[in-house]
Amino acid sequence: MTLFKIISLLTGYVTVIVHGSSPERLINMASTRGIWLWNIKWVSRESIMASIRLSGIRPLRHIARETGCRFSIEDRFGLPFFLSKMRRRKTMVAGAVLFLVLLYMLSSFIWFVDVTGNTTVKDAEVIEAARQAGLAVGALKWNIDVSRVEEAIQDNLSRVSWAGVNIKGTRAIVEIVEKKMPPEGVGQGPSNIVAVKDGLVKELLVLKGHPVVQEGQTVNTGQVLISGEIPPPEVNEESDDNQEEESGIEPPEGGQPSYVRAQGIVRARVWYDGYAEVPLVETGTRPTGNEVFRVCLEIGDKEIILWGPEKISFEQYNRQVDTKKLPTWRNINIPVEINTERYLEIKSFRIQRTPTQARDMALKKAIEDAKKKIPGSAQIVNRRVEPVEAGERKENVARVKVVIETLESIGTEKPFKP
Amino acid sequence: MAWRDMKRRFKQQFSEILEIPGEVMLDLPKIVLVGNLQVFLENHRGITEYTPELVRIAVGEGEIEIAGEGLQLRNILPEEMCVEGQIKSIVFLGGKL
Repeated sequence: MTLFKIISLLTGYVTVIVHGSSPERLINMASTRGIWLWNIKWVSRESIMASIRLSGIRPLRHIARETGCRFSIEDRFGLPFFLSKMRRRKTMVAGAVLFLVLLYMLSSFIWFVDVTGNTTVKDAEVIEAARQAGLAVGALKWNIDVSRVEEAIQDNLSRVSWAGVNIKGTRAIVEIVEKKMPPEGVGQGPSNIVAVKDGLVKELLVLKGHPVVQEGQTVNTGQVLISGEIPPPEVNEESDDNQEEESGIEPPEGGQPSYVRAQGIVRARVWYDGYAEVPLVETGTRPTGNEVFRVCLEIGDKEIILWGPEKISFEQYNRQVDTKKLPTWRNINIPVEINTERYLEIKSFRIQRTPTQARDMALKKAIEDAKKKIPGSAQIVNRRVEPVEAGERKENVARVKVVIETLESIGTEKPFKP
Repeated sequence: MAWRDMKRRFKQQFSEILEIPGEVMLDLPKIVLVGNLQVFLENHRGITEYTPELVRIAVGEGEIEIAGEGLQLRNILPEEMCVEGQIKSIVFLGGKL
């Protein structure tokens, strides 16, 4: 049935109104002669409406004459009629064709080049390298050899270890993976080992260089621990061999110091402070987890709610607004905004704590506070809770100060120029 | 018994023995009803009357009268037709089927 309808639409069909003394006879004759009629409706006495294919009109005329009926065409459907209608509106057809051609043409250019994944390499450098290989804004999509562009970017930019080019529609996305470079200057010239933290030196292991500090000594941040400058051996000393072994290099001739890249491990005791206070009576607000979304369209001063409730049912709430605006162009500012509002319900609370509870909580918080500063590689040796002297008046606050002692490596390489 | 009845009875028995469907052998109408909405009718001889309340269709040796409201002839082909609308009754008129 659907197939019949599709074919009818392609060949074209009309609805006719048949007037006559007995339209039934016309229907019968039409059906026996193979003229397909459908959707036959009674209009009034002696007239009916029916659908008929275009090819059946001429035979129907004969039948109508034989049966003494007249018929008139009421409406026309299908492809042939559509085409003739279009023939009368050439400009519109031309517009439609032009639209399709333009759409195709414009979508075959690259309009955007995006660079992702780069941190030290500049976007402009990558875009320039891509441009030289043929990928640029305005380039024809079909002319771009993606693998060639990728190779060119990798070859031209020494800091790029891999480049991937993805063309999605009119947007080219250049994905960059950068090489991990060692820090500037490290590994070439001489360097010292310096302290990154204040601490008390516990262990000192010198692999190369001249130790400046001793075990048990307090050091400050930035202080040189193992020097890369090895002083010339004292000539009058007898034990020359001994020193040579210690420094690990051959002592230079004469009174000139030699320079090396210091290596060694310096482990020191480091102290971290953590402080926290917890009031005995705490009041405040906190989110309940309930939230309501609302999308508003703001035109000038008017606000139209597109989605969400008209009234916020929360007693107390925080409001977060995300505003989207049309871009401004040459001082033309269109005062239309779309606001996505998020209402987070909050509730006030009041907590009463006993002094011990408050103290426990403060201790926990203080330890957390201190641990935030401790690097993962550090080894915690000792923990000490220090008293905090309360003010003169009796306070409703529990204060705790914690000192955590760790054992960790505090040396870091720092190059210097002799 | 008339000669025509004899002939008909013979045909009927013949078709029963050979299990040939009646509408083929005896030229009977085959009617399919879809609820009270649609009537499919095969082996018709054309329509004799059509109004929205009544459709009379010539079949074999008689007529079928479909009564209802807002009846339309959805489709007419030489062998089959479809009547649509709110069907109230189907009556066999005249002749022996």
